[in-house]
Amino acid sequence: MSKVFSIPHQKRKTVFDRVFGRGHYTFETFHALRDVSLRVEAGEFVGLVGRNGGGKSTLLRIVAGIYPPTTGSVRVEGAVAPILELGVGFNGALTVRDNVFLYGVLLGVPRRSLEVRLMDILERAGIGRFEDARLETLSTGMRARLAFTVALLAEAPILLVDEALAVGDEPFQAQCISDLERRKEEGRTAILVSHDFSLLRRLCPRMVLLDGGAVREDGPPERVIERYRAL
Amino acid sequence: MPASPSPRSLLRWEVMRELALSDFRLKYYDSVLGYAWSMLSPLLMLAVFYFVFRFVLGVTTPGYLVYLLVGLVCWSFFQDCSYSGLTALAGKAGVLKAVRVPAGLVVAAGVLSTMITLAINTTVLVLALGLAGRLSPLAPLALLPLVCLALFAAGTSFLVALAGVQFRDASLIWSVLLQACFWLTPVVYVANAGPVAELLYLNPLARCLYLIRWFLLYDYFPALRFVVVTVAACAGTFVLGVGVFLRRQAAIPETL
Repeated sequence: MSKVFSIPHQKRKTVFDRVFGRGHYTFETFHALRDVSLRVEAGEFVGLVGRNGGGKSTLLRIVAGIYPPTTGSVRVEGAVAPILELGVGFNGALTVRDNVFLYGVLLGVPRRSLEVRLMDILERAGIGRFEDARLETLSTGMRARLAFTVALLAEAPILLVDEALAVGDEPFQAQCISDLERRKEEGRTAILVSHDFSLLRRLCPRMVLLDGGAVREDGPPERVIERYRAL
Repeated sequence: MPASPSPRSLLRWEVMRELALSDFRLKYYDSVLGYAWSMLSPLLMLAVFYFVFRFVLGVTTPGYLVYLLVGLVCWSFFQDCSYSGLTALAGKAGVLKAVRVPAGLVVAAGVLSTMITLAINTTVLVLALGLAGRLSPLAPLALLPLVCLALFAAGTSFLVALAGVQFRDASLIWSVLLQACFWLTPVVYVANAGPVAELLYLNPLARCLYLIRWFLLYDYFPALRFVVVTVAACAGTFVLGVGVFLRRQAAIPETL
């Protein structure tokens, strides 16, 4: 499977150009992914590593169905919960409650179950009874914890996590890791992108190194990490 | 712990509803008058246009004030609705790049939030007309052209949204087109017969406004053909706008 982006030299073309211009647009193609072929079995936890710009996020977005692949195809058997960015759609001007509902629903959690579990969510995020406060009144850390708590409600069998764990204080991170471990025991599937090798070693018996849009290594953590360091 | 699995269609509806409600809440957030703004702006326009048309240009049509009020409520909806298409996708770029939400759902949510405003405004309008004894017996029929207006505005909004993603100057062009559209629709002036009206009938938006006023105020039922063509034109615009958008929506998140 490959993904090619056309990156126009102009940010976006204009109608004016199209009608009065010479009609030629200059653009470059960027191969974000080149002939990537991966198979992740149900119940596997796979760590995706690589330098910035290596294609990790693009791969997750394609698996999540957010971007269509340019060539090739992706087959995903089961519902996917993409946690690519924490607090998607969060708006500081809305209340904590409204943000929880909006974000939760975007992640595929039914609104009904969000309503039932609102207090539980706030307690786990350590926010107490501020459900009617505007989100902007919470600290950055609290916002991130709230986002992650909601994100963990997404009970899809397949999880895609993009560096989302790099937030929150230590107890919170520990909670997140134990939550992921629980999912692993439950037999769910996950692809985790992270630069935190100790975290990945703990959760992922298999790692994949992506560089320049291609798979450079695929196997046990030590081999992949060694290869990564040699880049 | 596991959230009960629900059918995809239900979740999509929930996503659209949450997006629309948050749009709606944000629009009136932190303003002293809150929701009243959405009524105040047509009312302010009403005062200005009434002054100009009645006293400067000397329009003597009986009931011009009510005629103008209906026109401005409908027009401000069309303006907000089509404009929401222009801003919805860019405003939700973060969401579209991080969650699998069809781009069409985001545009639909923006459209829906302006429809909430239209519903409230027309309810207030109809109540006021009723209290003033100006409501025609045909008034319930006005629901049909109102739905047509909503369909036409929604279809336009989807087309404008697509243009907004593809062309940087779409918002500039749309503001000019919107001005043109305002004057090619009998919002503030009266054109009830003659070749001018015939020409205006080519504009589906104008047809909606004619029908809404005839049913709501003038107790007049036109030839059935007029109604049918209006319904067809508006439904057609809706199908065209949504159809063209859906064909291209898969590529939208990466272009934002």
